[in-house]
Amino acid sequence: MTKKKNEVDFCIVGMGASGSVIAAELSKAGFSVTCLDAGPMREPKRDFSSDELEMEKLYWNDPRISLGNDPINLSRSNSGKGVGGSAVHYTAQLLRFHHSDFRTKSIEGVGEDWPITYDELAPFYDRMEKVLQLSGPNDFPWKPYGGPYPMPQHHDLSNNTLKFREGCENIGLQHSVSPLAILSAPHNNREPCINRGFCEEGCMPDSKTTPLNTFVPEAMKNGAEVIANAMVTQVVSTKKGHVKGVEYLDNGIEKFLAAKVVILASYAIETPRLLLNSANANYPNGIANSSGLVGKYLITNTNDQMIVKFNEEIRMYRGNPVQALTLDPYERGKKKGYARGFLMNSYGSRPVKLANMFFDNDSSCFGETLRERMLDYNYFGGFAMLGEVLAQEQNFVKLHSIDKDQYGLPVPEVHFSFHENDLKIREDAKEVLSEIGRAAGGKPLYHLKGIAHLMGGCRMGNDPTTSVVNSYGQTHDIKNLFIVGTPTYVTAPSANPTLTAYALALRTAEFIATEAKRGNLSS
Amino acid sequence: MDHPKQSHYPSFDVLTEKENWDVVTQQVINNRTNPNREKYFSNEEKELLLSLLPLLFPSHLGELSIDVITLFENRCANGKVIGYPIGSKYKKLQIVHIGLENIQKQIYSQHETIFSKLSEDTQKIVIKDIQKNLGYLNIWEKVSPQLFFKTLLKELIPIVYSDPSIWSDIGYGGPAYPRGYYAFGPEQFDSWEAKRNDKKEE
Repeated sequence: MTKKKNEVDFCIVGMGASGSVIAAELSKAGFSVTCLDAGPMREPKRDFSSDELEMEKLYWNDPRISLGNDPINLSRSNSGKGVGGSAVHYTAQLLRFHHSDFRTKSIEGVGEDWPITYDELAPFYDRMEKVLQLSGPNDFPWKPYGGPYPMPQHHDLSNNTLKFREGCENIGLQHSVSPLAILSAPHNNREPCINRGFCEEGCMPDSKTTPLNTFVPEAMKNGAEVIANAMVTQVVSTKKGHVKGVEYLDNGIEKFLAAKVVILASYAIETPRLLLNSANANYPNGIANSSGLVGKYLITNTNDQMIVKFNEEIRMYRGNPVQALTLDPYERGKKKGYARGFLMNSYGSRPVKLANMFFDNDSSCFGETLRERMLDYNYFGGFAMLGEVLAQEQNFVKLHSIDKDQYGLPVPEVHFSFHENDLKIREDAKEVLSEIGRAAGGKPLYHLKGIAHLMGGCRMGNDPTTSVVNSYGQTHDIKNLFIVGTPTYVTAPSANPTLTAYALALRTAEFIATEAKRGNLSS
Repeated sequence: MDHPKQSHYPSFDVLTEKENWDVVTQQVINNRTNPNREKYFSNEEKELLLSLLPLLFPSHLGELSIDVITLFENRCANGKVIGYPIGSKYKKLQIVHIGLENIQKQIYSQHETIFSKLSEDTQKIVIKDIQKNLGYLNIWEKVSPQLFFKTLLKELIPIVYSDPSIWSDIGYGGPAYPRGYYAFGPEQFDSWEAKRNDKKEE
């Protein structure tokens, strides 16, 4: 590509799972790459601790208004602020989407089909499972959606996990140790997991494979520049069909970064927010928004827990929260009179999260009631579901007309309401979780509703009137502007979304490198 | 205060293990148990919060080893409470200020005194009403009693359950780095974890 003075080939906004993969790949291919992230660059052994309250600093806690019939939590399970993004504070259960996830409209008449198939993505799943050194079982029961894995499965399973597996076994569900991006053996001078249990609070021993210990150092070694604490405020375009860089705040000072190609990798709220806030004379409704769909079709997963009381101690604080799963109910809806389905896994919560969930689900659970429940903390098992949520146009992100955040940017306003089908999934999963609890010898006591993961807002498709980007994340409106990560998702499958984000990012990076070398991304 | 239900771990004190924690975590917990106070609330607001705490967490009081309201005040002062509660267009801090003011207004109009001067029984009724969203409509028109209640509790619960004394009561192992956990299998635990029904030495 022909380069102007002070212009980089690629500017990447956001250094989470997707942005960091693209930074590593494009810098390896010899391009100049500058990455901007709104949060700090952290070093696990220096900046992390074994404490829930302290580690909330990993979440995106900036103001966000959450409304609708079922307003969703936009902090803890749905965001990350800092280099590495949300992939720094998650349980690292990495699963593939299934064939049917990419064809829900054709198969079950709900949602929309993706412009890409499972088979097209499969080679990238294969590669990412190896690069991320996934640990997992020798024989994954749900073929072809996992394995063989480069690392053996974790063997020190928590009592919570053993109970979950016992319950599944007793009611005839297949079960397996989860595929995890957590080392089960030493690798590249990193230590294997010691079952400390704070995976969602950042892995201080650095056993969890995250962008911080893989793609970010690789990108920097290849010459990519990473600017932390840089909040991007505008995507700048001067003529129709072309962007020329971004404006950002570096410790409060306004700066401009000129780039031949801009890649937005800033998750499902900040990406549409940035596009909408970048409206100008050429793009009065926001950049890349000729379809009017930027910010729309926002999706999440239902992520409820059943708290089951046992007569013996479980101590669910030990080990990774998620160590075993069943994918048997993945498409169970077809038999039960609803669409799609869910998965289930063991899920251990530390005290702050559990106390919070008790109160979230029942505001009379405070004081003495909460204390009495929490005194039994060590006797509780936690079994969770992750359910598909159907994409609806009326679930969206927009800019608040008045309220501004600390950067002077309009606060994002999110509207969310569940579809009737989402609630059917939730109710069915509640019954099965209870059954597992009873079959494991426990008493299912509390059904705690929750959500996790954000997707959509800039969905992919072949038709520019019904989607924002193509299957490579290239915006239909502007050929040198890309969007990667979960905002481009068309549906919200039950499987955790991160492995798909990694795989899609790898595919996009290869496409961009090829197109850039051919000169197809220049104005 | 009589506890309706006692700890399964009467002899466990998680802090006796702190020398085995990494230094960063030790510092975090030290700052929590010995905080510097940063002023955020007015004296009247702070007094009211201090009166509310024993009603919101009654029998935790004999167990709490941290100064919950000071930690809350510090978090407010340090910009850690900057968002909006789920389902609301008002900011968390606006809601807390307005709610505290509304309580005093309502109490004054009913009893011509302030909240802290009420009898404990009356205070309990007030808290129950707020939780159930009952209040004088002309006073609570902007922020409902329940929105205030939920917003405040959502800030206080994480602080309370980050108290090492509460961890000890519930038998939570607490920080586990660099040791980790090595004893696995049903009812297998590491030697330093809480032992249930272990009696305190007299």
